[in-house]
Amino acid sequence: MPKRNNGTLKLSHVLYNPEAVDAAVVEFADSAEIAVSRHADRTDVSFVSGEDKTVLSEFANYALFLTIQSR
Amino acid sequence: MISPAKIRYQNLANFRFTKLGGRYLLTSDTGRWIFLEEKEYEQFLEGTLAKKNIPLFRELKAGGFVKPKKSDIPTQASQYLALNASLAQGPSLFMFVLTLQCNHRCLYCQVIPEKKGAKGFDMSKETAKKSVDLAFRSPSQHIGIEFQGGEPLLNWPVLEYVVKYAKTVNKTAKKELRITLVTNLTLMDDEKLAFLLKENVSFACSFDGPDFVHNKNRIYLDGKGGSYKPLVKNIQIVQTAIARKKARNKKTFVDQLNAVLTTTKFSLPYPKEIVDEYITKGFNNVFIRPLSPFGLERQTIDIIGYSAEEFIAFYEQALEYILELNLAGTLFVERTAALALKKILNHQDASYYEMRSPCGAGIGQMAFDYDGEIYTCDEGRMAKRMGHENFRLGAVQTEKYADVVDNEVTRTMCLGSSLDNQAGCADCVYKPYCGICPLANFIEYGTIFPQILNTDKHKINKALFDYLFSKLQDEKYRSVFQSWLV
Amino acid sequence: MKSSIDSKKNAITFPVNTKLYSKEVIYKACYVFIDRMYIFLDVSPKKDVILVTLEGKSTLTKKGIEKLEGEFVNELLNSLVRENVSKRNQKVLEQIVGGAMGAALGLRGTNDETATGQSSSDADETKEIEAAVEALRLELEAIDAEDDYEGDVLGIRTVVVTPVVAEKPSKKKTASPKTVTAKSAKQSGNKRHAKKK
Repeated sequence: MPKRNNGTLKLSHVLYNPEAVDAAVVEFADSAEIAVSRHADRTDVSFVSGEDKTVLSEFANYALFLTIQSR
Repeated sequence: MISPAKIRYQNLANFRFTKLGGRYLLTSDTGRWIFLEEKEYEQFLEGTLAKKNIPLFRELKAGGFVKPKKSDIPTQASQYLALNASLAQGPSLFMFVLTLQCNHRCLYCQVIPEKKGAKGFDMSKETAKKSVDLAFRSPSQHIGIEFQGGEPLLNWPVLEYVVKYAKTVNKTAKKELRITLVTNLTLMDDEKLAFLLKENVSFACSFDGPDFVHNKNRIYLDGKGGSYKPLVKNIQIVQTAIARKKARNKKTFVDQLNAVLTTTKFSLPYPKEIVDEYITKGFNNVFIRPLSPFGLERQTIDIIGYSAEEFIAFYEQALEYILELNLAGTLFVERTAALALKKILNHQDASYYEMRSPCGAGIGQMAFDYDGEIYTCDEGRMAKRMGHENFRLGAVQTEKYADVVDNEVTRTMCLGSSLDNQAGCADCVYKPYCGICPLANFIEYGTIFPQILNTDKHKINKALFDYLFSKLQDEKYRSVFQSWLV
Repeated sequence: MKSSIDSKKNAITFPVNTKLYSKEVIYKACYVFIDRMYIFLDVSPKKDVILVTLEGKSTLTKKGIEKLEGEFVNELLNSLVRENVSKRNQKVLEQIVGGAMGAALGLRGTNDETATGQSSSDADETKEIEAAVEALRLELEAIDAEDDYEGDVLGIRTVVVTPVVAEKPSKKKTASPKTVTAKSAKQSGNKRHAKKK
């Protein structure tokens, strides 16, 4: 099931390093308003409405890239 | 179709691979490479190739693709060292920024030049002496001194001093000393030329091709047009003088004049014309380099910039034409390709800092700025002018050699340029030959660990290697490439 | 679970079995696509399946989207080979690089305080390292005398057999030394000889 739900990414900690997600949030925070919600097994990230749709996808890629780079 | 369950890893050495033009290209850590048909590749993985094709298996073994015996390891160690020799040498290239004065304001210049006569932007003799002393503390048996600027000829007294002082120091040090002047050549005169030729100083001049390209890129600081005419006049004078020098003593002669091309948007429609211009002006090689856009104003980038794809198309057209010329009997070398081919065909270190892992910042090269500040490389001192102090290693006035080489900045640059640390690069088939610039990544992408696949440098390097390896499958091109390495 | 296509989102989602492909391998495969695809990963509750969604950065045809799964599976296989080859050769690679750098240290010239060439202590160090490398090489060769790796892999052993020759000349033909292949060597019970370089 795609991990997007009305503009929110649900990033499982099994697959996305939480620290990598935090670093990605810092990177994107300059150009967008981001809401982050940390759960036990995942981090939810959403962009405030009005942003370009692709920014969520760009964020997902970046979080994945940082996860891979950190291994 | 390869079945994972059938793969016999115990027979396989460390190798990297990709599919290129329908065949599998394999490369080893010592720089050897081989093409396999799909079936051969499957058999190799499954461990059945040895029985089906003994000559091919032996070739794979010789190339280090088959699991080595313990007694193979010293041989492979020395092969690895040959491919990466410069890593073990210590710094061997030292840039001396003699002045920021210049008579040009080239569109792509990353140094903000000062006009002729401006005070306070020249390297002093004292700073130059300390820089030479620091350079000779390197354990490398090869010391390269490269004069940069601005226009180095505008600080002639210090240039002359460095040449003489370095040679004096070298009488005791007994290293291989090579001195190069990077110059726009327009301010050369007979007296300076005589000195430089006598002292075996090499010249690297910037030459962007026919006047309708060169004059758009390389403009005088006073705005009065481009420098094509005086440049080609001086190229002819220098070449004539070099020919006379060669006639006097063929045995000790070393060619001293080379030219470097910087590609801008104005160059893109004219790959053949640029190569022809180089040939008619007496050059037998060209060093085609892409633009480094960092530090340039947005407006300038809009005028002269282009995408990686556009540069790749230009470069491939130029190389196709150069290969045609070579096949027709004219020896003409493209130097970026030649540097890569030295690693690919000769399995030797090309000593080219942009194609090694880690790069040369601090451990292979360093730049002494006019004020005595030391930077990781020439781009490092340019980055400082843009406001980035991150690439400073110290100052010649105060620093000991060990503190310059073994410091945080050097280590960070090593980390950021080591291909083993970059996702994607570690597994890349071209890893034995490639390199990345963490400074360029930092300036362009804000990090020394960018998404490599998305960077222009990756796209350009990959295209270069794809092109060379595609051509290497054809014996006639392989012979041409081999002739470039003699 | 089967793959599903979302043409509106220009995307395809498919499962990858984590018993066949580890997370590392899946990450490696993902990285290959990261410049032209948006990639979203999710894990099943039992963690035995990772769902991979690939969304084209540029618009794809229906066929183009369908092909993505096959491309990704091919890349999974490539990544599996890379991962395993790399893991299994880690130690060997360390020995090779270590050997190279060790030899290079023997080539090192000046220390920090002098501006001249090798000091006498550096020259001694060079000789010591060279002697150590040579001793190691001889030791390893001795070990390998028993190990005919190539013979094992190729299934061929080259053995010279010298049969007994009669003292008196005879009209009968005598046997000459012959080279035997592995099969006959096995049958005759001859020892195998290591191939010398």
